[in-house]
Amino acid sequence: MTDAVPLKTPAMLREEALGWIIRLREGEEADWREYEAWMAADPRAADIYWSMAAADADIADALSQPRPATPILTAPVQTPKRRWFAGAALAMAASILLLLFVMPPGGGQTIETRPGQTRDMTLDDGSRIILNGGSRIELDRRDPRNVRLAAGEARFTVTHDAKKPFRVHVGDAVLVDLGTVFSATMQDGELRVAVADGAVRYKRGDIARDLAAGETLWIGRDGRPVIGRIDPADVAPWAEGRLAYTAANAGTVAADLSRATGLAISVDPVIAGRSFSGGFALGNRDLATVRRAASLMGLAVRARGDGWILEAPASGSK
Amino acid sequence: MSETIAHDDQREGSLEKLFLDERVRLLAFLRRIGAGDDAEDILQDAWIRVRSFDRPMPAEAMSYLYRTLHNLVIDRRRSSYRLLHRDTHWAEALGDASGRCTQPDSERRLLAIEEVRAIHEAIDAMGEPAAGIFRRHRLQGQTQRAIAEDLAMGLSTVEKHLRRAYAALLAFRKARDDD
Repeated sequence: MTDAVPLKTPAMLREEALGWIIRLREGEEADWREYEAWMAADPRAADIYWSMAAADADIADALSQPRPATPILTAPVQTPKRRWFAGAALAMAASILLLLFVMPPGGGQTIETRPGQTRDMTLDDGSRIILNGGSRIELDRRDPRNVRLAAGEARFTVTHDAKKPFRVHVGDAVLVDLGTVFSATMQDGELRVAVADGAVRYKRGDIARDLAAGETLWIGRDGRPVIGRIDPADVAPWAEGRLAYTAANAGTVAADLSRATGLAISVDPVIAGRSFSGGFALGNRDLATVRRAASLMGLAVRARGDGWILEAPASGSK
Repeated sequence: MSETIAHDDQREGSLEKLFLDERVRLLAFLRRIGAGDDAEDILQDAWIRVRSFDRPMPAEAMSYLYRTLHNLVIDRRRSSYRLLHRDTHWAEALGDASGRCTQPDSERRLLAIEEVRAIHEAIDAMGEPAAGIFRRHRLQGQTQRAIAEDLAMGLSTVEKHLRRAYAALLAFRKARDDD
């Protein structure tokens, strides 16, 4: 029989199992009979289904508890020095000015995430934007094909329309989709773009460069573009709950960890340039995430000030 | 004895009678959904529940019985899983709906509360309407049809949001388990 029927992949079985978990909540007798036949048809179905069903029951149990009023593990609260505080106030004033300036009257909307939080949005045209933690994006309902990534990182899955290209404005540059899944990161004056699928055109002034799937573009503060390679499966992996790198420096990883966990993570300058390749699951998005990442990078995590610092393990200690 | 006869009359059209009539079918159901060696025990558990069932016969009685068996299989899976992984489960640490509580130490309790908070945040992070639709469906038990009418959405749109919400939460839960 297995010769005649093509074997389902585990991913297909998981998809179907998920469908059953939802459907059986309002299942009638016929649904239960059909479910029974589905379970009996493949010897792998039971394990897949029951582990999902148990997880679903765990979630329902957790949600039946009263919602904790205050976060237990918050990002470290800043106790700013006066100078910092003035700086923050200035930055905030500047961002308000910028918003007033950039946002057209009416129709405009700014969406901002806290560190450690992500936000998944579907636009009217079907395009999907997943905003990473500590990021800000500006949308305009009247012009949904033009968005501005003001800060942080987002992954775009664009519904392609050759007549109305989707544009992401970043700084004074613009990314034009040519049918695409891509990510863009704006941090500390540097822009990173990575293309998972399709192609993106980068334009700044009269410079234009087309990026294909698997290509990255890095524009440092000096404005010089650098093209690199990436496994398309590793573009914006945080959107799938993980992080992955090919020869990234430790500083980049630390910035990503800060965005993902909401903790202030810095790097000992001595090892900031050290290169790291590999990936890990974000999991709880807490200190354990940072520790796991650090151990993969062969680094240690130490509390410093209001946050954490990645550094070389102390010599002699194990 | 008149009492027995009266009892039998009462059983007519009752859940107990349906259970006894369909016993073979129900056992086959359990075996086919992977209850394995536990099938007989689970059926016995279900029988005890059905006998103490003192509400009117549910409208969809067969589907009620299937659901009871199905949920008992989940309970077994979860308790055997918890025996293997005793440390991180909120249901145990917080005491579950039936009031069982294993007096967790304070750290475990904090972890459990943190888990609950994180799950709520994971739902919030889906954004609307997915978050609201999930809560209505999974926690308030509203049907997809009722939600669709209430939100003036197509049934398939509600289903799409639900699917994404469930998938996201299960992935979230799995990521925590894998830690």
